[in-house]
Amino acid sequence: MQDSGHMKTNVLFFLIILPLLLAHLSPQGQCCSAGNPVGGDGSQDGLKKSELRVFAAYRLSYSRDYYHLNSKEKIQHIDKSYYNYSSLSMTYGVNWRFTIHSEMGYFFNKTQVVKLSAGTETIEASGIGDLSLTLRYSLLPVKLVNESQLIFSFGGRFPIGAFNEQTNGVVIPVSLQPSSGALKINSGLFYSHKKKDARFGWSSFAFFEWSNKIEEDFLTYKYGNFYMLEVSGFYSRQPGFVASLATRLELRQRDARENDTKIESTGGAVVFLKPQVQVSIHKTWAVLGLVDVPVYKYVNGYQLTNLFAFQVGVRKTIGL
Amino acid sequence: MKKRHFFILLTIMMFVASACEKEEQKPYVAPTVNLALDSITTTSKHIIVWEEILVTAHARGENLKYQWRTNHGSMIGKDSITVRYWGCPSCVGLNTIECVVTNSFGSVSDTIMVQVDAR
Repeated sequence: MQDSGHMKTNVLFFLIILPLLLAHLSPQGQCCSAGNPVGGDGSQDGLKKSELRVFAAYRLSYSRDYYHLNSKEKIQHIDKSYYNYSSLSMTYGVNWRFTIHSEMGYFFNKTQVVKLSAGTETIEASGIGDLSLTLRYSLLPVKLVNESQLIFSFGGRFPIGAFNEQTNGVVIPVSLQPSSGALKINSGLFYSHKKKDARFGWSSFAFFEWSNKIEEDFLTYKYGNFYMLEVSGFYSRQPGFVASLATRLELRQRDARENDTKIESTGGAVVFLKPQVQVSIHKTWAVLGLVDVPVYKYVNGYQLTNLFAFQVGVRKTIGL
Repeated sequence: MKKRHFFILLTIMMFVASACEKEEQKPYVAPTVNLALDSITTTSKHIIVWEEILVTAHARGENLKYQWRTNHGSMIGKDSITVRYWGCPSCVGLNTIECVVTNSFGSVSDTIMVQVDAR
């Protein structure tokens, strides 16, 4: 009976994921900067009632190579682009069904080093990024939650951060502003399964994000839709150690400017490998580390692409 | 009672985020002898991706402060009056560059359009 239940769950899961995969996509990346972090501790699970999880993290993202379609191009006008970002996220289990997640971050710097005819210049901004709020809803009955989780999430990212940073009287380009400048609505579906005494388990996460149009003075800009699918296998030696390896596919449609004109050099597809380690240092404390390495890139037009990102963080779980 | 802690922390996060004050903008005024922006000129109005141009504001008045912005492209302040502009591949199109000049009498602004073409 339980197997039948799992089968139904899996069928339901793939029925929801499939349309995402089959949707007509014109993927994209970032033209000229290291982009914005998705953030979080990599977990999308639901928490027990009255459980609070606080996660503080530091992330470095580094972009260097220009790509045209799926091949590297010798374009050296932008030497590199990177950011140093810290975030604080809180996740709270309202009850066994509902979990609330919030996250906010600060860019110590968001930097682009450009080679101009007059020499090398650095354009840099710092400040608060977007605020993320998400509501997670557990779809499985409570008796199954110990082995499997199926979580639907719905939320938004709010552009409350810095979007008009300037240097020497010049407002910095949109792609280097700490805030994306746009309200984003997102939805996701997370499934994980691990037998009670098994050391191995797996999880998957499908995510979609839609962006509102930015209309500020003479700037009209709309980020393309973002789709993501991640499949992860994890090995756990309770209670202290969890190692996981995830494969993530990110697809972005082209951005648009005035009159909904699509911007050619935006959008693309990237496949990442993401090894992650979590070590408990106390009953309620854990240290997490992960690396994001793109292993396949396909971009529309010509775009600066990400070389790697890594993140370390500390997590505290509190029973309220 | 302890459940409130989460919401208190959440409120603090939102408060901190919204507490970032925006810089006060001087009111826009009609040009006078005390403050005027006569024109913005550029070394070229039609460029290709990565080509650099200089954009200059011709303003009158004392203690002038300049602020430059564009909807697509990048700029570096050569000095307050002149900026260096270029467009990357995602900046192809007809782009607007704006200069706002401010002093104690208020602010005046003007724009110039630059076409960026693909290579």
